[in-house]
Amino acid sequence: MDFGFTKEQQLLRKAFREFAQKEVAPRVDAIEHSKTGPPADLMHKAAEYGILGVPFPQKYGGMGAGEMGYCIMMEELNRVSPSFATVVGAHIGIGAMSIYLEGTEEQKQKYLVPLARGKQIGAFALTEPGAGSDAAATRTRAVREGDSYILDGTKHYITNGSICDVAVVLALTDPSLGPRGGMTGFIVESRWEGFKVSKLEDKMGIRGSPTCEIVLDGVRVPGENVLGQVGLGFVTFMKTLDVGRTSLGAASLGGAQRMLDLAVEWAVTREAFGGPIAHKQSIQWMIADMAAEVEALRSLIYRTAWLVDTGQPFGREAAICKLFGSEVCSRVTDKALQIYGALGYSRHMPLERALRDARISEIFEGTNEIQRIVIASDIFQKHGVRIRP
Amino acid sequence: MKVVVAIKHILDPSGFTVNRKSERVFVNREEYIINPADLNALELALRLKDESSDVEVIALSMGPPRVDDALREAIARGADRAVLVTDPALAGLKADTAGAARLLAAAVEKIGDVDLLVCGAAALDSGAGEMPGRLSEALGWPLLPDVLVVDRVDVGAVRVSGRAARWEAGLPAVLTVPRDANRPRHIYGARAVNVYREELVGAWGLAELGFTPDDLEPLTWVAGRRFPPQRTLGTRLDGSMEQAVAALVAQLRARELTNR
Repeated sequence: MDFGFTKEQQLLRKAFREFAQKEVAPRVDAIEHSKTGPPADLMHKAAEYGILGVPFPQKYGGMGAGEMGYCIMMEELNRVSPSFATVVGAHIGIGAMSIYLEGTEEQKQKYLVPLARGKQIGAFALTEPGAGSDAAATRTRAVREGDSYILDGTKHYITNGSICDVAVVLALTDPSLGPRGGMTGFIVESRWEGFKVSKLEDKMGIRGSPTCEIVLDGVRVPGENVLGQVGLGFVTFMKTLDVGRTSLGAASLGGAQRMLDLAVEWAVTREAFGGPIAHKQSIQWMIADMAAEVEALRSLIYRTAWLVDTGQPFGREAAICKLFGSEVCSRVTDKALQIYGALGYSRHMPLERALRDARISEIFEGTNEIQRIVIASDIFQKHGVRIRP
Repeated sequence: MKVVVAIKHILDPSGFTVNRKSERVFVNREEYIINPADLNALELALRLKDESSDVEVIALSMGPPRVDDALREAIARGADRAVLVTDPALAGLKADTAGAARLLAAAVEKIGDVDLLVCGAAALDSGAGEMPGRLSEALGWPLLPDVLVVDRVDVGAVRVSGRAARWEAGLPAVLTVPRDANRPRHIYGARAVNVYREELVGAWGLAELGFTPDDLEPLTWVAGRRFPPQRTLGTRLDGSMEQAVAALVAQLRARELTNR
């Protein structure tokens, strides 16, 4: 058993930390107040350093750092800017990832390579006004017309929707079959006629990552852009989300670690009642609880990334990463804010933003309630009991 | 053209705290980084490589085996290959900068046909800035200090701009680069992924460079160590320009720093 990071992984962490601190940190406020995504020069820098294709093999234009490298990057980015991490995570973890997992060699050359090189930005369009956790209720239609499909429908809460070049879209090809055989994934280019960004969401947190409503108004998609097999799109999309969950947990780990670091720093510098507040047991216990949760999360994340990279089953563990990670990040952030007191509530400090940013992780990419269903059904399945949402 | 960049692996200052009261240094995490000015030196070399594809950038360092990590990091930042001078005999040796310079100079000569040796102007740990001069002496090459930009490298000559002057020297030459000369590029992840898989770092011991431990007999020795004095704020001179200048001159006279 070896719990250490390899030399390459340590060097990668150094690389990601340096990028996050030297390139992202000075632009945190610019990212936060932008309605059009992170500044273009930052996205170009990210592309230049391979940040936008970390887990994909180098033959597809990626960095070749695997899930482990991807998790290290998400931890380091989210430590500095959850908004930027969300843009990058949606682009890699679900947008490009679905093409990497299910795309044909031609689709990979045409779409994955420019996405992994950061020449294009990806998005993942699953959620609809009437189909959130219940993705099987997808209404967007895809009607076959000759060699093409005509897509009509509305997708919403789509991260990167307004800045993407390529979106993977789930649509109904056979309403009579529904999710089992009647749904298909499509690779859609945002420049195609009928692809419209209809609304930009005004959110509580991760305000620098554009979240949009997209209307597909008779978008003609060539048959060669079907992702995976016709009728099996639901499976493709669920599989992509499975993979994405570990890295979401890694992002939460970065957020939580930052809060712990900030809280410790304050506890040793802030003086009250004749000494640093670190002398108070109430503070010590909060710090100890925070450290315990962060440490447990760290072990969980990197063990799960190792499962992914070594080709072992990871579905249940990945769901635990997302569930536990998001809750740890929220709890730790809340405690850090409490330790800072009124200063933590002030917008001059990064804690109130961190608390707003952390909250989304309990909701997006499968709510924590859905994660519990995934975990429980995996447990009970082994005892012959099938769970249905 | 071959450009060698000298790299020093130093203790990461964010890993230790200095307690002035007890005059002690507490190391919390023993982690090492590439000396910051050496990254500026590497950046200067990589810019030469950006301009001309026939430039080969070779990172050079000496020290225990851990220094291998620093050299691989330099490769992940863009250097082509690296050489590490390392020898178990160096561990217990009381070599000084002069000895180290002679050893590194021998490595530069062994690399062969080197046109430029680029060094960070000073190391963050010792702060002495002694090594580049020692290397220049050991190699018998001209020294161009505090170079910000290389303006031109021709056959046999290099022209550079420093903060206050422009210099020209015959090749080969030693250049020093200060910490704020440029903005060093970051580590390329795609290079980092492969950098430990390939034979990119050569390791040379004392014997391979024609040295014995006796050749490294130090010229200098440590007479004593003291904590640097606590810094105090200067005096602010208010009033008009004339008044301020008069007050300044008076102070300099009082401290016998000028007699005019």
